[in-house]
Amino acid sequence: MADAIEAVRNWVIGGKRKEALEETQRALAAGVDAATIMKDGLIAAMSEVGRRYSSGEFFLPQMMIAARAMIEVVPVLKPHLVGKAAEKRGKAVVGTVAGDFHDIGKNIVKMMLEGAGYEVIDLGVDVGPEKFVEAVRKEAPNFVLMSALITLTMESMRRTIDALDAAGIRASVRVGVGGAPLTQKFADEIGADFYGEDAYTCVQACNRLLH
Amino acid sequence: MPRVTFHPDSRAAEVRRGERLLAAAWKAGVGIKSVCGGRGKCGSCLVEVDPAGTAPDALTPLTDEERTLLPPGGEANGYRLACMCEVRGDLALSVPPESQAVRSAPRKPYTVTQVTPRPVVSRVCTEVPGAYAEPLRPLAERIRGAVASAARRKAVELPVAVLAEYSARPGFDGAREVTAVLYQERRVLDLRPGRATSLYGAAIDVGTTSIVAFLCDLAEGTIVGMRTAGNPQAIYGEDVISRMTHIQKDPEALAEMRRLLVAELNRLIAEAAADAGVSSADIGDAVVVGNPTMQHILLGVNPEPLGRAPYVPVWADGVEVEAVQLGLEILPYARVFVFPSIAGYIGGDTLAAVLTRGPEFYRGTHLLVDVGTNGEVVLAHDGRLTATSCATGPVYEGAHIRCGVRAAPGAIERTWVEPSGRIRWAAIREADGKGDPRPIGLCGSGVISSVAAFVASGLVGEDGAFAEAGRHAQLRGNVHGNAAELVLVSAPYTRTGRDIVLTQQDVRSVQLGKSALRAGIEILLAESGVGEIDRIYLAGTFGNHLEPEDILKIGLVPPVPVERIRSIGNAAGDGARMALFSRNHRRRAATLARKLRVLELSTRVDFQDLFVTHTALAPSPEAFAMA
Repeated sequence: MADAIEAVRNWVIGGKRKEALEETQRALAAGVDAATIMKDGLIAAMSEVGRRYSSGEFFLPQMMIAARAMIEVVPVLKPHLVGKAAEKRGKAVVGTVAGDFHDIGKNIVKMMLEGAGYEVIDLGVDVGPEKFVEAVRKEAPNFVLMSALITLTMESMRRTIDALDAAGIRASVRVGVGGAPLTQKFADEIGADFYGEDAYTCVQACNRLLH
Repeated sequence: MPRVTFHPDSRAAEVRRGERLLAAAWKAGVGIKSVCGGRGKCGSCLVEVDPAGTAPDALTPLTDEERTLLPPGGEANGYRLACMCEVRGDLALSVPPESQAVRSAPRKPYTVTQVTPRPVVSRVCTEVPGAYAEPLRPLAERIRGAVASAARRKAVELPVAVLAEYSARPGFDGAREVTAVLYQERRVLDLRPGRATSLYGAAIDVGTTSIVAFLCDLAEGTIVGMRTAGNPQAIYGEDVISRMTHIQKDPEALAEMRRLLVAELNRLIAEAAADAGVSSADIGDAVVVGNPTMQHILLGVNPEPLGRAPYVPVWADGVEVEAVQLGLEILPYARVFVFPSIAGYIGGDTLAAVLTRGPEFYRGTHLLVDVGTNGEVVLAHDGRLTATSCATGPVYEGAHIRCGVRAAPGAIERTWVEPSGRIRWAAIREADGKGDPRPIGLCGSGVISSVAAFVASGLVGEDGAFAEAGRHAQLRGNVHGNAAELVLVSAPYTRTGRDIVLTQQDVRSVQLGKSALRAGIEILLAESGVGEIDRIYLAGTFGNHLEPEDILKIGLVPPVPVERIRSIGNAAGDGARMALFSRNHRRRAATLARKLRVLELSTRVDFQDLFVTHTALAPSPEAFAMA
């Protein structure tokens, strides 16, 4: 059983989606618990990918194909998850802020969250404060995650947080921010709940805050 | 107020208590590298506090955040990061060479396209009749009549300001020989007694990093002087976004950046003129090209909207502004032509580079690539022009690189690996061949050359990851057992006393910059249905220093036989000069501006997959697709 899970984990880390999928099906057929595959196979794989990315060993392509393999495995596990494990871990609204069209970082965060079992509402790029407010009202997410790649558009994050405040819904969500020009200091200044230095730390922060 | 003295220039500034050290440097006019824009992310604004001239507690204490960004042993040596500490008392410090802002003058600044002169301005000499000449007429009319007939025109315009200045001269009302400077043979820009024939003009290329000014003899179509300098705005950050951020925070920064730029242009023109023995009164025209941000700043127009989507310029027309209004110290009523911009990141410089291409450019398929902090690509395919811009990042200027330095003496510009595995390098030497031969760091071409050499020798994989540490004695592993950096030159042999390394993160930066440019090129080619490229022109001073083999090896440009790649140097400056020499080219610039179609990459759905594909350091990587 441990071997099967380790195999799933390794296929996901290596980004081999076909093999990951087959191994998962084999494991399920052999009676391995789906929740364990999820936790020790997929989520453990994502941690490893995140670690390798942070150390520079992995780069965008490796990270993205691993996340893609993970996303494909999740639906196979889902019907087998029961009780608490079947529930979505949480819901996040993600978007690149107004004035900014960069979406690769945001897409990676989205994929890693999905791989970790979150429901993700992707608002796309160039998302203004009103759109975030509207989405929070409609979706009632646990998290609002904003990305910015240009120094000049970072200010839009502050405006979004202010808009959530003005709409009286700031307390209902945890706000996370990320992107190359950001710092922990800036996140503190604008009153965000957390700063994700990369996609993996962002997912970790979400996991931590959810419990 | 505390006084901060910066060495080696000994510049000083008084600042309020609590001012950030980096801001004190700006105030003193000292350029300190701040790759991340002073946000405490990159550690590039390293300075060395001099205990002799420094009061105890002159700076806020070192925080853990700052400590993690300092180089090993930095704390003991009095190193601090200028963006992370505040001034509390008098202090002295030195800015080490690797922290000095990139204010580099280009090394090989020009290529020259021969142009048949047909300048916008010309000089005529004529006799102006005295006050008693019949019929009695006001001086202005007498001047107009005399100048018009000398210029073989029916009439000429004489602006009152020009006459007003002339009327301040002794004996202005009498009969005398005068020389007029005419704009398009119909408008008097300048009037002075006596006979003068030569008329000069300035062609200026304002880059984010450096400025080139040419002084030209307009009638002869020749260059009589040239001066280059770093852009003095570098003290506000090395890239356009940093400068826009300053303007966003403090609207007065715009006026200050404009003032700095104009003062530097005046200095360059004056020096070039002094070399050539030309008086500023004989400089009757100027043409300026630059990227859109530089053109906005020169015109005093807020460039801030260029920094965010949808990246639309505030002002995009080609425009003539009187020199006196710009503050340019040439003939006051000379009409300085500032090139049109095409889009937020495609400016007069790109247009000027296209201007230098002859008719062959419009036959077949040609690619013009200007590699800099921002990469601009123009594709000519069956006579149609399409352009796009790619955020390549400052890696090509040697910034964002751990040991990145400007391209100046001491910078490693080429690296190669011998079959024995020995890593060799060559640094830029002082012009006289003397001076300290030890290197300081890597300039942009050194970075690209290193990456290409290491990929070819297997020390870096096509995926950009370093080989395992055991592979080469100069590879240094990190805690995970992967090589985190490659030591090019070890501390005892460098001028900084620290190792010169290429880190895993440096390679990642190269990959990001490279893939942004290449993905842009691929979309441009696909969009125009291009199969084969006849020629690739590399423009920009940086393009000049790239080895075609290197950029093919890492896949910066699509695979073509190496002889199809040609460096055309500072094509923007060349184009500016063509527009200065000939009004035909100035008109062509306006036509090109209308013809050039812009392809916006940021909204393309296929960009992400292409971008990810081309992070690979290979000529034609296997396609990556998320779907």
